[in-house]
Amino acid sequence: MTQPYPFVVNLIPNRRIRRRAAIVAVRRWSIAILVTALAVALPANALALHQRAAAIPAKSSVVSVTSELDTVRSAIPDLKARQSELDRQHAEQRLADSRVDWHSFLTLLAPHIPDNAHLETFTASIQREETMDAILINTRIRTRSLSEARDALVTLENTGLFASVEMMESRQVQTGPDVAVLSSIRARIEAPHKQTKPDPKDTNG
Amino acid sequence: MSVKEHIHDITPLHAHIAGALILSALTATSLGFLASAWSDRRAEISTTNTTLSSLEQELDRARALRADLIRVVHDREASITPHPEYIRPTTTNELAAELAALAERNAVRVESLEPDTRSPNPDIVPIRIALIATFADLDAWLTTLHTHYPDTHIQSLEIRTTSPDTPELNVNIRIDWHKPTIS
Repeated sequence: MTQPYPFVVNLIPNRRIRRRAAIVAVRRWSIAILVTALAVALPANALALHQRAAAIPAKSSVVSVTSELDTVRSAIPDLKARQSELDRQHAEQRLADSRVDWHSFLTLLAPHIPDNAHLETFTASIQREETMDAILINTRIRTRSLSEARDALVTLENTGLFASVEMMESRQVQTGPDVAVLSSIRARIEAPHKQTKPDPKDTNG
Repeated sequence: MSVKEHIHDITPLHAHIAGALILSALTATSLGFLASAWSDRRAEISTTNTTLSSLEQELDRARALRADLIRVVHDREASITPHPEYIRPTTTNELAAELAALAERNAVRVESLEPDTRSPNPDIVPIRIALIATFADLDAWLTTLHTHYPDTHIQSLEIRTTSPDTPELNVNIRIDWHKPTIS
C-alpha cells in the first residue's frame, strides 16, 4: 500500500507545538498532583490529625490507678493512728500483765508457814532481772525452840516454791518467863519472764 | 500580564520540573506530618506507660503497706483484752484519793501516804503507804488494787505484827505508779 503523501510537512509553528506540549505537561502534572493530594496527602494528614487527637489507652489507666492510689493512701494515716493507739494500749496491757498478783502470792505462801512459827515481820520486794523477776523475802519468825525454827526452815525448803531459802540468824530471846527463838530467814522466788507472742509490728520488716 | 499570557513562556521542561517539585513537596510534607504525629504519639504512649508502670508500683507498695497495717491492727485488736473494770487516775492527787477510798471500803486504815514527786523517771511516781489492817482486809485491799488499778505496781510489801494477841498488822507498801499515757 502506498501512502497518499510520501512525506508529511508539519506546518504548525514550533512555538505552538512547544506551548501545546507545555499545556499537556501542566495538565498531566496537575492531575498527578491532584491525585496525590487525594490519595496520599489527604489520608496522611487525616491520619496524622487522628494520631494527635486520639486518646492514649493507658491514660485512662493512669487516671484510675491514680485515683485508687489516692484512696489507698488516704486510708494509711488513719490506720497508722489506730496502730499507734493500739500499740499504746498493748504496752499498757503488757505492763499491767507484768504486775505481781500479791493476793495470789500471799495465798500461795500462807499455807506453808508452819503453825508453830509466829511471823513477826514479813518483807517481800521485787527484783527485776534481765531474764526473770525475783521476789526477795526477808522474814523474822518467832518459835519456841531452835529445833522448831529449823523445822520451819525445812518446811519452807520442801514447798518447792523457793529458789533458795537461807537462815540468816537465829537467836534466843527472853520474853517474860518464856524463852523464844527469833530467826531471820531469807528466801527467793524466781519467775522467768513470760514468753510473749512475737510482736506483729516487728514482722513488718 | 495574566497567567494565560505567561503560559506562552512555559516550556515542557519547566512544567515537568515544577510539577515534580510540587508533587515531591506535597508528598514529603504530608508524610513528614504523619511521621511526626506518629512519633509524637509513640513518645506520649511510652511516657504514659512509664508513668503507669511507676504508679502501679507505687500502688502495690501502698497496698502492701495498708495490708500490713490492717494485719497489725487486727493482731493488736485481737491481743488486747478490754478491761472495763480498770480505773486509771491521771494525777497523783486523784490516785491518792482513790487509794484512800479503796482502803476505807476494805476496812483498812491508812496511816500515811507519801508520793515521791522527785522521781528520776517522770513516768513513774513511787508512793509509800503505811496501813493498819487485818490479814483478810489487807488481802481484799490488795485484790481490789490489782483488779482495778492496772497502773499501780507494788514493788515491796512489809508486814509486821503489832502484837501476838491482836490480828492487826502494820503494813508498809511501796507502789510504783506508772502514769497513764494520754491517747
